[in-house]
Amino acid sequence: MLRFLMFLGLSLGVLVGPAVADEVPRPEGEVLLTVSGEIANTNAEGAAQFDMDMLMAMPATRFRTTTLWTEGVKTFKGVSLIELLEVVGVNGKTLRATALNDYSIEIPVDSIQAGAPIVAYEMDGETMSRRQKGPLWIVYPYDSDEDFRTEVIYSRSIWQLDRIEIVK
Amino acid sequence: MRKRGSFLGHFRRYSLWLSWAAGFSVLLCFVVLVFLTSRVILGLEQQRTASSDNVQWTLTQVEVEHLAFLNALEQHLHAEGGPVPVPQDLTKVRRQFDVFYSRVDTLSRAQLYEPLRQTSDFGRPLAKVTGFLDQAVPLIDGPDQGLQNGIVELWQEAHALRSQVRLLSLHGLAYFAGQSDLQRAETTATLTRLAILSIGLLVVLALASIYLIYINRITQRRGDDLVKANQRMNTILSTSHDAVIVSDESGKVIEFNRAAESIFGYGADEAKGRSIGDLIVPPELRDLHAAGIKRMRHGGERRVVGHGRVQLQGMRKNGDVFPVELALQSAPLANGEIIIGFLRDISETVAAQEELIAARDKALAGERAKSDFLKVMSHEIRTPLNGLLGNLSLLKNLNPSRQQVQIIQNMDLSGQLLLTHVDTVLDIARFEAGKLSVQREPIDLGVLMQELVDSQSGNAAQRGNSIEWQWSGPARPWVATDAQRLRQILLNLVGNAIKFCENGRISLEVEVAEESAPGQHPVYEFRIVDTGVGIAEEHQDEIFEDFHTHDPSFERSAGGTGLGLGIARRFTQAMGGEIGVESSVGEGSVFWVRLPLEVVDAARRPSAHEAQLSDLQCLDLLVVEDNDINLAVIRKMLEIDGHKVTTAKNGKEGVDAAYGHRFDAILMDVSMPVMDGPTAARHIRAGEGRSVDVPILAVSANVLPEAVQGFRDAGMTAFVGKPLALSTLRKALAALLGGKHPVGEGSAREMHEPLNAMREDLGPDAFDRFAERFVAEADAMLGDLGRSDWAEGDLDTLASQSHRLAGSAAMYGFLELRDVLVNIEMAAKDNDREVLASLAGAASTAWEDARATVLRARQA
Repeated sequence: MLRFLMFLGLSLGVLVGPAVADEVPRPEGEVLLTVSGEIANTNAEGAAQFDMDMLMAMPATRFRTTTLWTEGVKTFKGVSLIELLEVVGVNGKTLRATALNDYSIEIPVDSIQAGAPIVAYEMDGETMSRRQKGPLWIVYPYDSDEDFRTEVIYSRSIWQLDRIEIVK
Repeated sequence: MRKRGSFLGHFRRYSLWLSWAAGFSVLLCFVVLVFLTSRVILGLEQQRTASSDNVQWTLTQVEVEHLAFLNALEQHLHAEGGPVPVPQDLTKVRRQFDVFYSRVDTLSRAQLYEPLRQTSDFGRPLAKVTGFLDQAVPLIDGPDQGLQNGIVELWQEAHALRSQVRLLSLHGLAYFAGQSDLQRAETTATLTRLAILSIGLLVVLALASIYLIYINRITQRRGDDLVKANQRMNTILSTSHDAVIVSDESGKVIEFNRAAESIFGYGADEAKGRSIGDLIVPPELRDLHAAGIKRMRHGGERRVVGHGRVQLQGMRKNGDVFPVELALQSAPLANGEIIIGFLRDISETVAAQEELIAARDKALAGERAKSDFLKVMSHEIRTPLNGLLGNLSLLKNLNPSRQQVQIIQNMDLSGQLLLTHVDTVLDIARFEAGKLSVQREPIDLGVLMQELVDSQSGNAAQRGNSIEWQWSGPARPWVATDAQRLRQILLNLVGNAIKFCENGRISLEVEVAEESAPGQHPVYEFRIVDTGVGIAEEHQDEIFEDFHTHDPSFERSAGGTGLGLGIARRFTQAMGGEIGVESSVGEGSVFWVRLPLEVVDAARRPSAHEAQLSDLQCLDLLVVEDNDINLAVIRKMLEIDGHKVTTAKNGKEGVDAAYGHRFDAILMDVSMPVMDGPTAARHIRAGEGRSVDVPILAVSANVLPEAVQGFRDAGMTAFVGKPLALSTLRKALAALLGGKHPVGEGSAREMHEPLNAMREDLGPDAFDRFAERFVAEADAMLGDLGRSDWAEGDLDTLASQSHRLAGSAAMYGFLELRDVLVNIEMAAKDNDREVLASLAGAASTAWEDARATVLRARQA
């Protein structure tokens, strides 16, 4: 009930602030990621939508690491999640990310560091297809720190990322 | 101690070993524990860093996503011909395919599932599913129409795949469950090992704790013991009356007990750390002390340490030096040696000792004075007594009347008794001074006993007693012993028996009581048996003590000094024998004397001497002497012995007398008017008279060796000193006519009879003392005589001195000196200074002679 009311309030707030929505450019290609919830900047109704070009236009972060789910050392390139959140002007404390198969996890905003994780769009210099856990994959530099080799982090490493909702 | 020491040693080795073992076990346990713990931590770490994603999720998700794909296909099939446009549905189909594909791709490629893929149960369905997907890819990626057409077939195939997907999922889950179980089992095992090891460690630690507690208790107990011992030691140290000072090797004081504080005056705190040499050693001994310490530190000889008690000088804080008794001991410690000194202030002891020594010296001096007094008195009494008895014997030869003979006999008896008493006292005095010498000469015990019985038979008869003697057992009469002493012993016992026996019988027995062992003399037992009053048992020991009188009133009536038995005991003991008594009251007594006596051959008896003396009778002698009295005495003496005596008043007359008559011998005075002795002797020898070669005996007071040599040079044969005694004269004549008594030093010394007698009486020590005193007194007095400024008081002193010295001179037999001194005394009393001056020369000459004689006698 409370959530509902909050959601309602937020929706109303978004509706009455079209001026800020213009800060995030509108996607021109296929929308790959939709960020909604407690955000300041939108480019769609209550949400910020991103296509591949928009993501690639943002400063990229790159690192090499192995993963549990791939063979050998891979080079990942993508947008640092924290940067993405800055773009959308995050207000909430928690980030709920959901995959194409509706797999959903929560990432506390506090736990997000510069460069870890990233929303990867390239692996070994090539974009990733859906069958290759693409097109977007939240990846941590697992090899760089054992703190990234925990089950929680693994569970947060969501592939086929589809949408992010920021909640309070 | 040694045992305890070795036990302690064992104990220490044992506990050391135990400590090592315990330490090692703890360490080992700890290492293993660390290892296991690290493994557990590693395991936990592994779980923390979860190498796996949520595999169950992934595996079940395969099935879910397969179903989602099937669902998408079915929706599409059911919607065919429906209101929903186809392309949209195909998008969903495609997306669900991709999701499913991605999931299976993960299973096919991810490292995580590599072991799982190796199993055929998983690999086979995975291959089938992968095969389906690869087959479907062209259709999915193809145009919509193609997919639309093949969608039913795709559904059928996907539907048929359900069992395989299910297998995939199930096998995967089963596998990971197994893995999980394995891991858990391994963790459990590790934890179990850890627990066991922890318990083990706990046990070891517990044991170690117990052991440590035990060790701690022992240590504590030892500590307590040590504290107690320390307290005890401190108590002992502080309550000791001896100073106890402990120093290190260099002499620095470590301990200084209370007694040390009070003796030396330093406080313990003040003394500690200072050099012992500076504290208590007097400055003059410090060099020695330092040298001793140096010697000790270099391992040299230890003169005091460990050598018992030593007496040294110590110094107090105030500088007083006092005698201490010191004992030093050293003890090795871990950090060098310590020296423990026990010191005792013996000032008082030393003072007391000195006092004692002084008292003893005083007592000894008193004793000696007493003894000297006795000797001198005896001697002084004996000398005139001898004169008295000598004159009595002369008197007997003067044809006295019958009544006079009786009186003379009585006087002689009394005189002899008095002489005996005096001799007794003198004997005791000599004995006490240790001067009693025992002579040894061969005697015939039979003769001795017979003489004894003969001499006492008169006394015995007076009291109605009979007396006799006999051998008990075989007679062995010839022995070498001190006949005089033996006679004295027996005489005292016989006298005693006569005194205590009235109208009874006294029998003497002699028996060779014990057969001698080889090399030992046989023991002779002399028994004096009387039938007198007897002696009670309780008095039998006392009677041999000095001045003991069995019954004072009776003793007095019986007469005696009370010394008789005491003397008998002394003599017996001096001769190495025993004396004793057996008696019962009213029946009589048996006194016995046992003496070890040397048996000799009868042939050794000296009969020659007696024969010679008898041969000397009836000599024809010439006596040349200017002094009428001397001449008369000599003449009398010679006539008593039956000699024929011719006299001459000086040397000239002597030479004349010798010319016309051949004498057997000539006695020649030396200092004579008209012609002196040596000149007369030369004339006799040089002339052609009839006595030209007869022996000439020089008679002189001058016994100096030069003088004696002068007599010999003058042709005199021998020499006797003045004043003459009959025995001396006899011996001299016997020697002269036996041809065995040449003039010489030996004879000269022997011939000064009074000195020899005195020396004999007093013993050499006392004689020497007296002689020195005499010489000193005479030197002092006579040296002063030459002066003429005599004051009245001085003359009185001189008179008394002369009187005293005259007495001494007489005692020593220096009659010339005595005469001069008497004259001086009289002149001094008369205040006649002229006579005094004229006497000085004569006195000094007489003294020179006397002095030389005394000194020579003293040196002898």
